[in-house]
Amino acid sequence: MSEHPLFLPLILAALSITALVAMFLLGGVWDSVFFVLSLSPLLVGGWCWYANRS
Amino acid sequence: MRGASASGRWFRINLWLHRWTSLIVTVPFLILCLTGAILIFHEEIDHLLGTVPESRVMPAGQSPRYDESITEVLAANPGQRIMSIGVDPEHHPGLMLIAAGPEGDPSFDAATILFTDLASGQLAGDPIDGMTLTGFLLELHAQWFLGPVGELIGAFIALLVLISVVSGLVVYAPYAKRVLFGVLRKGRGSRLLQLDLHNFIGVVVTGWLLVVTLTGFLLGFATLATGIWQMTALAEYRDDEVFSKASYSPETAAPLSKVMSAANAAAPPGWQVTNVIYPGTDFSAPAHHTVLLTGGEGIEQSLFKVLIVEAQSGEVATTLQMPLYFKAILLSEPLHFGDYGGLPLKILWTLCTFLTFFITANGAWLWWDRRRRRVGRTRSVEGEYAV
Repeated sequence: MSEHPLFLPLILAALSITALVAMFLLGGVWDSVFFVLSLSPLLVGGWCWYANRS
Repeated sequence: MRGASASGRWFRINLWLHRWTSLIVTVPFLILCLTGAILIFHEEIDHLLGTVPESRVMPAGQSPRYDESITEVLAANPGQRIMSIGVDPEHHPGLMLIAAGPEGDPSFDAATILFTDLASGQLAGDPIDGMTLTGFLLELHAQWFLGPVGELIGAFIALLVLISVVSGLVVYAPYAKRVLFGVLRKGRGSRLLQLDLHNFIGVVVTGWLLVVTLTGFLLGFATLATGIWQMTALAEYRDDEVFSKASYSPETAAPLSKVMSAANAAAPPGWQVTNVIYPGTDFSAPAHHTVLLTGGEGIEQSLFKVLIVEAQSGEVATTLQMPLYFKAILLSEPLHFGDYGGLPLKILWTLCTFLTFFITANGAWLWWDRRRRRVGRTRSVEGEYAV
């Protein structure tokens, strides 16, 4: 499953969408948790770029 | 595996879709990115430009002076009538927004927007007669200055962007098998670097882009949905004998404070009045107020409940249900503009907007560069034959 070429993009997109919608629907004390989760594509992308920089 | 081969029919269909949907929307989408990035901060811009007066703190124990505000506006605008009022205790405490328009005109098109200080009942700030900077940008962003038709064009652009994103994922699959996520191939030509950047940033913003384009697509039907609601639920109650034959005289009608109290008393827990639309407009019956209530928590802050209040007595007559399609459109707005999570979310929205701007522009450059190289190759082959 994780070997599928679209595994990472789809997981990151799903995480981002879930976090943005959950932050909107639930709000309150969970706001910061969902906000960090919504940053996950940027954080994972930044980390992968850093790890692979030549 | 479907989609993972760069030579299959499925891949070629998606490559064609990705290329042409993206190219068709490149220029309008770049404009949407720029105007959208500015509109994320519409509250801050309006505040800086003084479009909305400074919020006022209500003295403890004092009731808001709704009726004095109405009297003040009518005295300052002879020949005008009140069309609607709005309050927003969370973002603009102590202020009331009043739309005043010419007698006998049911449309809000010619309305003047005024603000009053609820502590004193006096006018606050300058009236908004023309278009504000953010109003101008919003009309460009949401309607392309073409009214409801422009909104539908916006929905079509959003649909093309959605197709572009989904087909882009399919096109990305064979690339992802060859190039590790996050790798930017420097020193091997500008084309490879731009392709890597396009794919890398595309993956990073995919989730956000799907949220923004799907909600943008729904928002494109906002005016259409309002029209359908006017022609169905609203028209049904307006045509009802009880409501259509009721009489209304602004001089002897119940004061606004009584309407607000009655509506707030009838509101479910946590909900309160945010708008009162006066009788005789496109959104009300000839002798009844249409009162909008908003919830105080979570998604209820973006939804409305509708109460119909008899203008003469100030008593709640009935409630109207919001249809599901209307709720979907109302909920789309904050998810589109990213204004529900404070400054950090606005910064995230801005960053993703500029990253999307970049991949839209560099995607068009990749197409142009490929075409330029192909034309160059064809010419050199033709040159060889000519020799």
